[in-house]
Amino acid sequence: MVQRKFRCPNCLGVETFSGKPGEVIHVTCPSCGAEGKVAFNNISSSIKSDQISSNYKINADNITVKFGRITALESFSVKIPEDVVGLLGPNGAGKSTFIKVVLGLLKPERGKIFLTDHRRPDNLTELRDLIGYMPEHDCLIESMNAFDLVSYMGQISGMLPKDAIRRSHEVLDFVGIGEVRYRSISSYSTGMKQRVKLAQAIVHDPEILFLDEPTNGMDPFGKKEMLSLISDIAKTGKTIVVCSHLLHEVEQICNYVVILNQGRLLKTGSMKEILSGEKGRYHLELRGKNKDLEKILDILGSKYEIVSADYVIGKLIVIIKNIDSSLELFNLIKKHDVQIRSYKPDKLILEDVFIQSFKGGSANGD
Amino acid sequence: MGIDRIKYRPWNGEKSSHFRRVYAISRKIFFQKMKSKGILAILIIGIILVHAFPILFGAVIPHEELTAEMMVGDNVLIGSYLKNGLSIIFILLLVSVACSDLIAQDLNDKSFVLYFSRPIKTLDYLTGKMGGVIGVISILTLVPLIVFCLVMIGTQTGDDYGSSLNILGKTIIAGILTTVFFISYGVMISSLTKKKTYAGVGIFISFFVLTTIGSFFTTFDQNWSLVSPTNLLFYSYDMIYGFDLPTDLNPNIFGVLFVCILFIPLVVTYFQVYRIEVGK
Repeated sequence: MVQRKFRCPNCLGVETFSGKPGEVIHVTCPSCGAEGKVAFNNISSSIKSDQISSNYKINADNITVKFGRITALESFSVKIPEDVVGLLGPNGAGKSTFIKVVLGLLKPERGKIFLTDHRRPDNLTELRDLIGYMPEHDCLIESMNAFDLVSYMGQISGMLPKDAIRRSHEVLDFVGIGEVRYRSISSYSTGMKQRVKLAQAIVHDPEILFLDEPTNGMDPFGKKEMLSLISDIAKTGKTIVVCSHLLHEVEQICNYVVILNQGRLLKTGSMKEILSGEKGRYHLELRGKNKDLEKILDILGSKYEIVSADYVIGKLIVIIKNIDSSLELFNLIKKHDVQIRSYKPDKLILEDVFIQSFKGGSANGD
Repeated sequence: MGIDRIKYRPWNGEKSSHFRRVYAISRKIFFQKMKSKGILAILIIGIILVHAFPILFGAVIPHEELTAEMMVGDNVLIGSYLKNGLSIIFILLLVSVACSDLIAQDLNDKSFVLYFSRPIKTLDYLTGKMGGVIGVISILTLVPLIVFCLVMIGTQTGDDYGSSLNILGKTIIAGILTTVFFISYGVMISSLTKKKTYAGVGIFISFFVLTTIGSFFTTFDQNWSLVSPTNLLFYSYDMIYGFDLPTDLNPNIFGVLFVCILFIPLVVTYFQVYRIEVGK
């Protein structure tokens, strides 16, 4: 007997059925009563195979959201893994709309959001129980103190008062809010408010955490500490989605990146994969006489593809593609009386990837 | 910041029921309001001026039983306990202060997102908020009425306790109606502005504007008196205690206006909050 999980197309609930390999059985969805057939090699008729990959926490399938004539998200499909994920894009790219769709605040015109192991994506209460959200803008109730607010939010998130009180102290200690927790939030600095916003988002220990510009308005020390807090939370195996314009911060803490613009997905992949650049793409730094450098640049241009060349008196920095043999390149340069000062694979930074994604090409410069 | 940062620890506690989450909002609102000096002052002065004397007189003046006339009629001894202009002014003052920041403050702080990123819906949010403020307003609109009735029943000379208890039941309904009547209106005004001052003044003034309009046009047609929320409430008391509407009033117009003033504010508030929830 084999056990497999199937998603009912009617209620979207995930059910486990058992059968022999190759067998086709009639089933009734226990949640909605829809009938269909399930095959254990491939699936036929009304219930389609949709085994959920445990590697992905959020699966957005073909989401379209419109506000009147403005399309905020258009056929947006993305799989968010159980990791620290950077959600990048310029203002109006659709990042907040995507978060609102996941939170169930917005109903997409088309498409669905699936959360792994979550039976009914339409059940808002169950869904929001799994999520913590730290908004970008000021949203704290200014007349309350940090402790009251975090404990209050814990209770609304389903914690019993005694648990909420204990946990509030714990998370406020974690984010670094000390005795000031009993002072009115209106007297807090921007950095302290950011910490309280993080505390209220994690008080109920959600599985998925959305952090919208978490370091907004913080000083360099505060930023560093906030990033370290996020890394600490990530160690517990949570899915953390970080929306930020500060790409070096995203690069520092995220292991996966989703870049979107004008409601469309531009690029997605693991940070390592995205920043590794293209095979055969090298950063080359040469020193020599000006006329020799000019000459070698022409020769390199005729043999390889030059991505960029910065020429300063006595120094040439070139990014070259399509290098099959480094030895061949070295010999070529040696013949022209030019010194190689640096030769290394060209590693991209997230900013390059981001900019090049918007230029329409891939991050690899294609 | 004084305390060394601890490591992040997951929480594995027991989740509370959905009702408890809504109750948490109500409880917070109730205690927050009860800490307000303004609200406490209105409650104390209102209870002394509006309710203390009738309760005292009711206890000492001999009476056979609690009657509907004592509550809404022209009783020789107590007058009309419920149809009391001073009572309406105090309730209106209390509602203006208690309801003004109920939603306006969240609009101003943009704190809706904190609520709606959690497992509660628009209706839960409104139920929680209104539940808290109902508790506060009831101290002036319901509790004294019950105390009055109990005092009257306790000091009555006759044996017909059944009839008195019947009046007590009707009084509870009248008290609940008064509370909901004012709160639905107050919450609607609060959902229309970010400034609690505007909301507070708006609640108070709009009641008087409607009353003035009603009084002005009554000379042309008696049905215009129903435009006044106070008159509408007083006529609904009559209905609760089994009295008929005055013959020159159209019961259909009364019914329509009553439903409008009770439910339209609630519907407006719901859609206003829902619109904000989805960020439109």
